[in-house]
Amino acid sequence: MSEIISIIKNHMGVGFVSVLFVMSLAYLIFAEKDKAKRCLFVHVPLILLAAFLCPISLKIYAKVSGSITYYRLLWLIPVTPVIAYAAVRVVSEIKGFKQNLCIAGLALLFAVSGRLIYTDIYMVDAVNIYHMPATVVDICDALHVEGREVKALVPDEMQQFVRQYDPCIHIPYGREYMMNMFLEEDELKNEMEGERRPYEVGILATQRGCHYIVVPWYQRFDTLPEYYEEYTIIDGYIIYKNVLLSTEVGKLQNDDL
Amino acid sequence: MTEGILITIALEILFPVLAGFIFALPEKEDTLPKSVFLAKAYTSGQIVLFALFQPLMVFAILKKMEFSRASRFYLIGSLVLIALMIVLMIIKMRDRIKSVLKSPFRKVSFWGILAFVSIAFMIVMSFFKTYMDGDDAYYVSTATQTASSDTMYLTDPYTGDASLFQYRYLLAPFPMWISMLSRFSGIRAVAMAHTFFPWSMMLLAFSVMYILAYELFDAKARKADIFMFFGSILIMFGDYSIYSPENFLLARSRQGKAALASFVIPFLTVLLFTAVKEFDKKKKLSLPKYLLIMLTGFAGALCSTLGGALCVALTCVFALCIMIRYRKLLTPVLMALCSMPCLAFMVLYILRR
Repeated sequence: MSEIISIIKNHMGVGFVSVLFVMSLAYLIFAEKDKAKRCLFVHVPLILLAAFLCPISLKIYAKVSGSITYYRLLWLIPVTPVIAYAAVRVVSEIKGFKQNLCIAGLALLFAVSGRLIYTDIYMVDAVNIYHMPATVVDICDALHVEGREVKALVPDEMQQFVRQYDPCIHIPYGREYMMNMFLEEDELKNEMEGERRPYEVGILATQRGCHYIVVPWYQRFDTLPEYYEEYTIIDGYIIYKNVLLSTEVGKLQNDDL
Repeated sequence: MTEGILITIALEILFPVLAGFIFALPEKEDTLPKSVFLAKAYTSGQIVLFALFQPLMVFAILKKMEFSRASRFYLIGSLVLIALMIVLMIIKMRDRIKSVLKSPFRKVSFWGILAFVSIAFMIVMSFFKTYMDGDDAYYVSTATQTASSDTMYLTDPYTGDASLFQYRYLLAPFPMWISMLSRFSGIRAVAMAHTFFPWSMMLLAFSVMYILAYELFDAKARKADIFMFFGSILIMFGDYSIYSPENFLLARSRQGKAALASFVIPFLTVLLFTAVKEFDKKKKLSLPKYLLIMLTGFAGALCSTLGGALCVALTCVFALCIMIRYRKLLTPVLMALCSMPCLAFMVLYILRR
């Protein structure tokens, strides 16, 4: 049960939308008489809530898909329609100019009860048609070789974007490591996150077939990584290029090793 | 680019509207305002297109078919089906088409205009704002990888390395829909996913809300407009949690689970609500209702591996309500049964994971 409560708490998040929903539901339980509307706004939400709160539902769900997505059962409850419909019923009881005032007041209440999506810290201005950070676009364009795939070791902040923008650029380890989805150790990642010894990084990156290593300028290596040379600097990132691995079209990745 | 945008608009609006005409036509004795008819045709048509895409793509993926071949089959098949449905509609349902053509557009009140402005604002913002979501590293990369390599689910989207089939994802191949739009429009898959796709998902979600407003308030247009206004405000300020359907709609609309939360499930809710209304009046359901319930399950399965199961659960809850309220067995049981074919994908997942 504690797991269900914590899922509900996470789903409720900030604000009072869940409180508004409960109040609207309580109001409609007493006020709504139409059979079909009562089914949609009262019976269905109550049955779904009861099912969601039942630990057996969680057990079954967790067996099939894992409990991490159990919150999706709450998507079945029509939260927004219930609140909006109850609000319309309330304002319908008021006549004349007061009704318009009441509508505006309720809209304001809804606004302060939730949070404007455009104020979210992860919501940023789009700087190009791809909605990708400009640095990622510039660096990927510099690494791209027409007609073949290349592999690049990129910093963590770029990992989620590189292959969205250019699937021809492979990376040695991806977002699954940032999310701790794998327990297996990755030597190259450990080295990059740990001591960042140029010799070891160069050897490991070459063994993994990385044609390029991209690091922020302020994290550049004191000496060149083994088998790598300085290639270029773009948008505050320094790119090292492997001297053994060919990026020529038609050559296999490790053919020069 | 202009050509690509026009093709995108055709694929995202024209095709769904044509595919949904037959499901949106009112019964002989009923009338339906043109705008509601268009909203019904658009949303039902998108469900039909999603539902056809799901089994065909899963089959093609399991057979390791080239993506270009599979998408060509799909396009030809859906075009033939749309043509057949239109011919059938013209031959069999001429009177009902005439009644729609004669029907007026709905009057819009001040609150309706405000609702329209706030919805338009959200759609415009989808072009100028972007949400940095880590899950895109899987879903969008899968779409771009497919469009680029012409293979489906044979590489790990995180790294680009060869990978084994991941049944959890490939049985809900929503990223292939983005790849298909990208392939036929010529717009890069990353731009399609982030820029040229979200607006259509929002339009679908608000069309569903518009239909619900009409179904709730019938001829009372002002009340329906106020409902739309409240709904649009609640959605715009719906970022109270990263798990809310509103957050998924406005921030992550290129992901299948967003389509499930903000379009497919609300569509099914409205469909089942209209089914209850129809049952209340006629004590039976029409064939298109059963068919749409089944197709919505498939559309849900396309969006998420458990999407189909959620659609079945919702249908069963409504069926239970009808059973208890009206003390009838046959119709609710048929409703529940019709929703179940999509469970085949979940069973396959359980067997192969």
